[in-house]
Amino acid sequence: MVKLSKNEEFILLSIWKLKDNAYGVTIRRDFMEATNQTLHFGSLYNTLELLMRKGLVTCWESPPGSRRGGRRKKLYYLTPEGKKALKEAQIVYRSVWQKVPDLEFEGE
Amino acid sequence: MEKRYHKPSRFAWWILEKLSVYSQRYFIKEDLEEEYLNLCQTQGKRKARRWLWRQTLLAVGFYVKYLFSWRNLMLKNYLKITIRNIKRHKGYSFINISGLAIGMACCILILLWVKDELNFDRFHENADVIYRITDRYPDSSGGYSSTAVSPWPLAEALKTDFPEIVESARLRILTHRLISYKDKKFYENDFVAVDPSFLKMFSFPLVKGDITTALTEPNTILITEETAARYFGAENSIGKVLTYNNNTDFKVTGVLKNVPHNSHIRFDFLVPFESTLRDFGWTDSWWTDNYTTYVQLAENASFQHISDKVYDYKKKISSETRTKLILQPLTDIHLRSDYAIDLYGSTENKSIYVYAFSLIALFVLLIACINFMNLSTARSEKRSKEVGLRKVVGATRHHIIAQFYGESLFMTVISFVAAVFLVYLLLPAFNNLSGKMLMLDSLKEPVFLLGLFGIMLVTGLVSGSYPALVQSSFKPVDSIKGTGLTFSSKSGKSLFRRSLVVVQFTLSIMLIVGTLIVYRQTHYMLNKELGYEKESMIYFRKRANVRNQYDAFKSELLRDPNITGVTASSDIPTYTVHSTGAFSWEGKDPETRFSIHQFSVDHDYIKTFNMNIIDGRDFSREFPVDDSTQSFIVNETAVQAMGLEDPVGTMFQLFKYRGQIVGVVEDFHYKSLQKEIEPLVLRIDPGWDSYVFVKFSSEQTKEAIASVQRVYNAFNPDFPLEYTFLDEAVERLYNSEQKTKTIFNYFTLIALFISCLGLYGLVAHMAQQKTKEIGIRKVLGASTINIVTNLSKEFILLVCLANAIAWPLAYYFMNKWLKNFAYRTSMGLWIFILSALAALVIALFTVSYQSIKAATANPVDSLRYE
Repeated sequence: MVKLSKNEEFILLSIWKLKDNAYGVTIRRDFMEATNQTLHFGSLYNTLELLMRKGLVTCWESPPGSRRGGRRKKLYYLTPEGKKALKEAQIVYRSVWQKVPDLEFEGE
Repeated sequence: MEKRYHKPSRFAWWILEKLSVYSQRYFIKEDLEEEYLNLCQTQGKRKARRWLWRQTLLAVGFYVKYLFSWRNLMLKNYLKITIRNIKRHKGYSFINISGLAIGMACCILILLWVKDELNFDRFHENADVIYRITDRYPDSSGGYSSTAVSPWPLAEALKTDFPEIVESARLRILTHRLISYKDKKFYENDFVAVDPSFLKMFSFPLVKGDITTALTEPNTILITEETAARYFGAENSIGKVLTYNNNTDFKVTGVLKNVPHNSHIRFDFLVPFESTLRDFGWTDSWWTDNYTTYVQLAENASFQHISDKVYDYKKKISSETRTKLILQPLTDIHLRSDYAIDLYGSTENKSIYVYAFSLIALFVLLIACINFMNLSTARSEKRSKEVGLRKVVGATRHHIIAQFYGESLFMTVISFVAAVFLVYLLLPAFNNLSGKMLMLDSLKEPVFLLGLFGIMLVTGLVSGSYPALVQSSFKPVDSIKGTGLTFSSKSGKSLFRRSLVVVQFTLSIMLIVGTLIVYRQTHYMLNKELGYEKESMIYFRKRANVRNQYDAFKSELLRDPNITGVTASSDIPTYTVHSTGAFSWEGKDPETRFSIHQFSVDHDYIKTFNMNIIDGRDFSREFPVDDSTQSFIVNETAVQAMGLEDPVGTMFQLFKYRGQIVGVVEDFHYKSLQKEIEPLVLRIDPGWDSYVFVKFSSEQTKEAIASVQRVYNAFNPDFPLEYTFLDEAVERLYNSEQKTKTIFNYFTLIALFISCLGLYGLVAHMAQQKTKEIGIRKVLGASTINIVTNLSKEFILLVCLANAIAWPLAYYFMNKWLKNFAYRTSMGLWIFILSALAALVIALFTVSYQSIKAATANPVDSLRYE
């Protein structure tokens, strides 16, 4: 089983969510919307680099399209291993959260 | 279609591009650009720009971290290699480090000096809102004259008329006052009369006594701690009574902290005005300027607004006046005062010295950096194999750059520590030289420390950059084989090094020329014919019985054959304060207005000073009219200013005195040579005379002074004699030029020394590289002289080139400096030739030592060497 950090997990999820439109800017935006935290490009690229080394993510260079003002972009996809890792993470989360009593009523 | 394309900052872009490690793999640039444009549209251009810059800074931070964290392992190796290199080439390392250390030490010293100069008067809490009132009026030459004195009623009038002026204070310095306590008697020059508000405006704290009541009572006095110790020793000084001029008693009511050395006002005693008024002919006229007036503006007041209103204030008093009032910020007083009459005589703008010295500091540091760069470059050739090997086993260009930068930073840090130590050692000597009280305390101030740290960093980076960038650029194969790397051959690299030598010597030669010209100007000023004889003359205050029985005193003195002349005057030729606009003459155009200096003198004045009468006659006892202030003698400049064809016999009026011009005296310099000679009128009015001048024969100085002493004591038993030699007083006028001269001398020497150190190292290096060549040449029959010429020729050419560059630059700068002086020496060609020769000889000497050593070596040894 592959171990994932929070950032790695969220980025994998973003890539999955964004399907064919997952590249630097969109991934970062999605991440920031979902978590309400800032993610610097630097951290994003570092994490992506790690994920690629672990073989969870592959990328594909898209030809310069008209939408981005002629700029090239790199699109990211999950590999089968990536999907498996996410699934595993989900299972772990479920089993952990199942045994937790409702947080709403357990205030101080 | 996209909206308007906002161009992101190209510089930030460039940095980002250079720094991002995965740039190509991820299209980082493209991503950032998209996000940037996005922000431009949603949040505006400014925010987007700021965002991009933040990204850039973050990237730089991470890059630095990356550089070092990745290389933790290598760091130890680098350090080891650095230290080994230093140890292995002790000579070079010594030259390198000591040169840089000396350069940095100079720089720190000068920075301390500059900082001190800039910090004058900033210790006052209200420093930013205190201004001094100065005035400006048209002078005889059609320009303007400025003084820093104002009339008595001004301070109060300003405070009443302008609500924005919350406080005002007058000040007057009384010099040569005899202060006594029991048997202790001293003449005091820093005796200052002020308004009580003075202590409220300025931050001169009391150690003892009550600041609210201080100076409010007449006949009370505040003294500084130092003065208290001088008069009362360890006794409690409060309540003690000091006697002033043997006629007034002052009760000490408080002890002030010593005046900081960076205050433009110096005092040992503070008294309220009332008690001393009768001592200096007090008048509340609006037209006699005798006081320095300071005003304090309200915190929120607009300076521009008030200064505009104050500018024409004197029109309110008299619509005829042309005098304008100008507010001078307190913090400008020390450096930017340029007044005919100021607190301590006349002043000239000193800020030029701050610039000049900063420039010199920069020069010296630059020379030291070049040295460092040159030597490291030369030495780094030796290390091309190391670099090649490092590259072969996987070092990238970044690694090599980081290594070399790191090394030079390491050396800089060592030099820096040595420099601080040097400064610590040299500071007393430097203080002596500059007349300052600098301390290393400012090293604790964060701003200053940051500045020094900046110097260190810049020095390290600048001097390390050439070896770092060049060494890292070679292909490993070349660097290991050693091809294409021969610096000493006529390749591009050695061109670079040569140009550095040229720059270095250009700077040095400029400094030499500067030194010579400063020297010549001071020499000129000290030896110029002043129009009167300053030698063998002393002067002292005409006081008490000497004043009352002056004629008896004079004839008593003249009975000594060693004393050749005695005269009296209101002014010393080095310190002239009496200037007025209240005069007129026959045929005066009512539109012409200027002010004239006026001395009262006695009959023998012109004779004693050996001045020349060029028209009319001298004052004489044969003309009774001379005694009744009805005869005037004017100087040449005054004749020109008044536009008189035939001055003798012209009716002339000064104040209420009406009379004739009886003679014209040749212009003489009664001020510093920085100032033009201005119109002057002499008259006889013994009541004004406050100095006695005694001329004696130069061989009998001691005897003459002894007899002056004897006669003086007989007349004035209560006042000890305090006399000054006139020529020394004249010399003191040029104190700041003298100081500049010495400081200039030292820094030039240092700059030359560092340059030569570098040259020495370079030649040594070259000789070593050419060991074999020299050996072979010798075997084939070259003489020692051949080889020495061979080795030195190039450097001599470089020094010649440096001369060609330095001359016009030096001419430009020194011309600027000389323009400060109304009377100045010329810049002869010989000065330039002399400096060129000096530089050449010194360079030749440095080079020849090494080259002779190389040339006389036994060729057997040098050829066997591998």
